[in-house]
This record gives sequence, C-alpha cells and structure tokens, in this order.
Amino acid sequence: MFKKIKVILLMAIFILSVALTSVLYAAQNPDFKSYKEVFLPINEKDAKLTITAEEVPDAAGYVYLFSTIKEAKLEEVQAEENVLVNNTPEKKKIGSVDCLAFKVLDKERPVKLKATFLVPDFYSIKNDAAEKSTGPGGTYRVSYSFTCPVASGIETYSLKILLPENYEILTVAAPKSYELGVEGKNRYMLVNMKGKEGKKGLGFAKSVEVDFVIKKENVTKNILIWIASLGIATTFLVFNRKQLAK
Amino acid sequence: MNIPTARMEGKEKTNFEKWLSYLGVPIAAIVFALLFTMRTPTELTLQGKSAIAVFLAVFVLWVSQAVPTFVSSLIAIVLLTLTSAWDEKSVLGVFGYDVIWLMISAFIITSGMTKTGLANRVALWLVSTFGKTARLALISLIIVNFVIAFIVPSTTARAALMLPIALLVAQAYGAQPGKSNFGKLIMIQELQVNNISTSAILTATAPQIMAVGLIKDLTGYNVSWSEWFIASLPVALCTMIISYLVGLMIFEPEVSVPVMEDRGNDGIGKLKEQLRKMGPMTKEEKKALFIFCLTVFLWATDKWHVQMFGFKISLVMVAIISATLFYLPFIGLISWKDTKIPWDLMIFSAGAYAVGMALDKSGAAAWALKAVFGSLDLGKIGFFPLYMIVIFIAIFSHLVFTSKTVRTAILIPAVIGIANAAGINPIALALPASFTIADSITLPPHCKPNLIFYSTGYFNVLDQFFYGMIVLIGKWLLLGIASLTWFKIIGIC
Repeated sequence: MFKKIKVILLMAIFILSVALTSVLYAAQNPDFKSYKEVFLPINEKDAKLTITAEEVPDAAGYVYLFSTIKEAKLEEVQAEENVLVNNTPEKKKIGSVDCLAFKVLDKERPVKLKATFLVPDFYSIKNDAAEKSTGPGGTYRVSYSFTCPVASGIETYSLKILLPENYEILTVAAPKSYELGVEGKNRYMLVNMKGKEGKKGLGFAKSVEVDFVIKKENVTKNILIWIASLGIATTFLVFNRKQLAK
Repeated sequence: MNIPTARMEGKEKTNFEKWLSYLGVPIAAIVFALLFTMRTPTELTLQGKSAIAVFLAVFVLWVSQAVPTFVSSLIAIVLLTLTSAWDEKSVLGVFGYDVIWLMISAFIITSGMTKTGLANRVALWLVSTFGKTARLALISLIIVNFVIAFIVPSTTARAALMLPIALLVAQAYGAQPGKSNFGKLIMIQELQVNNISTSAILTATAPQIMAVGLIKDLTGYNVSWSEWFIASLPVALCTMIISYLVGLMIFEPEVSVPVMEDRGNDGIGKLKEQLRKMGPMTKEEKKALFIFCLTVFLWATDKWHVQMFGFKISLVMVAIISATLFYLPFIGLISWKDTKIPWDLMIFSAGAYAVGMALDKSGAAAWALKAVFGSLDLGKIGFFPLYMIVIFIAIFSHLVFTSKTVRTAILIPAVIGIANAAGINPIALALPASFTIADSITLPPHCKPNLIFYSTGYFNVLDQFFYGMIVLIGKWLLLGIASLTWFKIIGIC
C-alpha cells in the first residue's frame, strides 16, 4: 500500500514539475505572432536584412530578435505600438540561440519591432563546379537557416530572399516547398509558414533551411548559343541534302 | 528462335520520314536555342528552363529519327550536364537505376529461356493454340496481360514477364524489328495494355493508392477497391478495345498467319507437329521453367515477403536473382556469350530517363502543370466543359512527368482545389482524374514498361507517340461519355 502511494506521489510530482516548467518558460519567453525576414540586395555581394516581428514582451519586459547571422550588423531598429527603452540591444540567449533583446516601456502591450541589418557577402559565396566535374562557372550559393527557439512557436513565419538585379536562381537544394517571383527588377524566393487551425506556422525547434545557387544572366552566352545552334542547323541542312535524294 | 535485337536499320523510309529526318537536327537546335535563351519564367528556376529546353530538343530528335535514338540520349546526357538541368553525378547515375537493371535482367531471363528451348516450346504452344491468326495472337496477348495485372501488382514486373512471350510470338509470325507492322502492334499494344489495365485495378500501381489517400485526406471520401474497379473497369476495357482497333488501322499487320503456315498448306498442323517433335521437356527446360516460375512467384507475393522470409525482396532484386540463377554453375543454363542485351537501347533508356528525371527534379513538370491549371479560369464554366478540360490536362500531363508519384501528388490536390472553387463534388473530378494516372503510353521514358518494350527495337518513338496520342484521345472521349452515363449511374458524377 505504502509502495503504491509512493509511486502515485512521485508521478504527481513529475507531472506537476513538467507543467510548472512549461508555464514558467512560457512566462519568461515572448509570444510571437509573426516573424518576417526579408533579404534585399544592396549590391551584388551584400544584403540588407529587414526583420519585422510582432510579439508580446516576456515577463521581464523584453522583446527579441534572433541573431541568425553572426556577421550581420544592426543598423536601425523601430518599434510600433510600444516604446523601446533603449535602441541598443542586450545580448541574450533563448535556449542555445543568440538573441538581441530590447526592453520596452510597457511590458503588457504587444510590439511590432522592425530592425534592419547589414549582411556582408550574403550573395558572394562561390559555388563553381568541383574539380574533375562538369558544371557552370560564375555561380554563387545562398544559404540561410532559421530555427524557432521559443517554446510557444511562431504563428506565421516568412522568409523572402531577393536576388541582385540580373541574377536568377539556378538550382534549389532546400526547401522543398517555396514560391518564386519577381519584385521590380529582382527575382525572389519566398518561404511562407502560416499557422492554421490552432497549429503554429513554425513550431518549437522546427527549422526553415534555404539553400540555392544563383547565376547572373549572360547575354553573351545566349548569343554564342544562337550562333552555335544556327551553325549546326545550317550545316545539317546543307550537307545532309543527299539524304532527301536517296 | 533468337532474340531480335536489331534496330531500325535497313528500313525503307517514306518521304515524310525522310523530311522529318532531314529537318530533325536543325529544328532541335533551334528549339533548344529558343527555349534556353529565353527569359526564365518568374516561377521557374534556370534549371527547370534548361530541362524543358533539353527535353523538347531531344523530343524532336526522337520523333524525327534524325540521329539514332541512343545518340539522341548521349546528346541529352551532355546537354543536361552542360546546361545544369541536372548535375553530372545524378545524370550519370541513371545507368545504375533499377529500371536499367530490370531491363538487363529481363533480357538475361529471355536469353536463358530461349537457349534452353523453353521459350520456343511456349511460343509454339501459344501460337498453335490461341494465335492461329495474327489478330487472335494480339487478342490473346492483350487478355494475358490484363489477367496477370490481378496477380502481379507492378506494371514493370508485368512488362518484364510479357517481354519474352511477346518477342517469341512476334518471331513466330516472322516479324522483323523496325520493319514489321505486326511486331510494332504486339510491342506497343503490350505497353498500352500494361498501363491501361493498371487503371482498372486500384492496387496495380502505388500512385493510384496514393491518389485515393489524397482524395480521402482532402475530401474525407474513402474510395474502396471495388468502387474504383466498378467505376474504372468499363473505361479501361473500352480503351483496350480502342487500342486494339486503332492499332489495326494504323499498323495493318503484314501477316495473318504464322510464318510456317505460309510455307505449307497446314501451318498450324506443322507447328503442332514441331511441338510434338520437341518431345518431353528437357532437364534444361525444366530448370528454366523453375526459374521463371520462381520469378513470377516472388513478384506476385511481394506483400508477404517479410512474413515468408523475414525480409523484403524488391522487384528489381527478384529479377537480378533470376538472372543470376541462369548463370550459376550446376543450376545455370547460359554463358555470357548466349546473352543478348541491346546495349544501344540501354544507353537510350538511361539518357531518356535522365531527361524525364530532370523535368521532375527541377520542378519544371510541376510548374508546367500549375501554369496550365492557373491560366484557365475554370470556375466560371459548367460541369461538363470543366470536366473535359480537367480530364484532358490530367491525361496529357504525363507528357512532362516521368514519375507517376510526383504527377499524382500535384494533380489530385489541384483537381480537388478546382472542384471546390467551382462548387462541384470533388469526387466527380478527382476520381476520373485518378483513372488517368497510369496513362503514360506516349513516349519511351514516361514509364518503365515503355522502355522495356521499346528495347525490343520493333517500333520507333514516332510510332509509339502517334499511336499513343490517338488511343489517349479515345480514352478522353470515353471518360467524357462515362461522366454522362456510367459515372452517373454509379453515383460518381
């Protein structure tokens, strides 16, 4: 009998501690309604990353942006619907993910935080064919990864990567589902993770991986292809006439 | 009897074919340049655009026969790699795909059956019993192909099974590869019936099961095996009849009786006499029969392999096991010298399959299908026109897809979405669209059975394309008629 009571008590303690941890964790962490990242090219190498996050501050009155790229330099930050105490962020961690934390004046009010970062060499990682293999030159690899570190997940996450002018996507290794389009003179890839029916768009510890190769449009190459194709066509038409006479 | 592996050489070309052949390379070159240098559509990658350019250029070469088909495949392999339509490792890796191994194994099995005389015995029996005329031979092969669809749940395995029988019946009628209309008919009808009979049986190919799963997930309606069978069988049977009749019209057989019969007054009697002269089955024939039966048994029982052996043997591995048995000492029946494998067509198959895979992997096929659906304002038209447009797209979407699975995954949700937007019962569109999943009969690389029968060398790409398109138009009209009659009676439409 005593043994049974002991087991029941232990189980109750375990369940309570798990539940309490979750509640405490949720209170300590911000609640994200949306998290939108847009990479816009400044030139053929560098990008400007604009993050727009709609979130409810945590118990300590902090709102967060995730430092997914170490080399990114914060240029500007703005807050709507609330006031930032200081525009200089504090470096914190949620789980193992580095964050930039901004203290807000009213910790009860949601914030729409908009920050811009300079991301050097975002479009300039060379991806030419490996030695002893066939493949095009003048290609660059664009890769980015975002993992949701907050326990409550993110309701809507979107990532848009615009390419430098005259560049186009050659191949896509990841993700599996994406949209391609054009905005002005820039082609882009869009990954949209919208929540539906109570399910978060991006759950806790879920990742969005983007990995693709870009290439500059090449008018000279197109001219050469036309010359070669017309040359082949003419040669066959002229020298293959005997075939008709057979 | 020897396995015919000769290609289309030596055949007298018609004027139309001469012109096609003359213009093939110039047209292919211009098609390639035009597509490759055009601005990439915004929703497509450069890889996708390149894959489309290579596919269409090579398609022109296949159809025009301007260069031997294996050369067109080599061109495709080079172009795919140079244009980045698919990476070099993947393109070259196609030669290691199961379809190539399956074809090699099928030819080894056929060689073994021929060397031992078993194939001769089967062919003599088949022709003297059922194939007294060319038409009867065609009908009996169609029936055999349809019946085994219930036993062997794989289009590819069925094709490999039917290959030696079809080859030997063709030989019994003296059909020469590339020259004989009867040979063309046998081989193309075999691949057509293989695919069409599949559409009648839900479990005959995995993508059909996937389609039913998607219908259930997206509409909540569970299509049972019998519902599928009842709805699809009349359409499949009528399509097979159309295939048979259209075939006779396009490729009128040059023979009406087996070749031996032409040489004497009582040909069938002579065939029977020859069969009698063969005497009882030899030890070698019994061994070959055992290997053949073992192959059929393993293919037919793949669902229960784990229970029987504790592991599963794939379709291709069964074929390789059988091929190995033919070579093994003590058991074995043939040497490498006896093996006749058409390597030129293996190269063709690898290149053609690579082009198809590039279309799938680059997203070009999915883009093309979405672009077609997206460009049509289907919500504002009535049910019947909408039904006919959707079914037309569903049937002919196989032209850009090699993978039935990928096609199903894109097609069925899109069709259900259209039905919902138009406010009609999604089953009325999605189920008939699912009956078209196995309709990949127009080009060799569209599915494995096509490649297996193409590898016999009896027909060219243009023959298959032209015949296949007419049959599919017939099936489209049949599905249209079914929507007004049969599908209404059974409550689908």
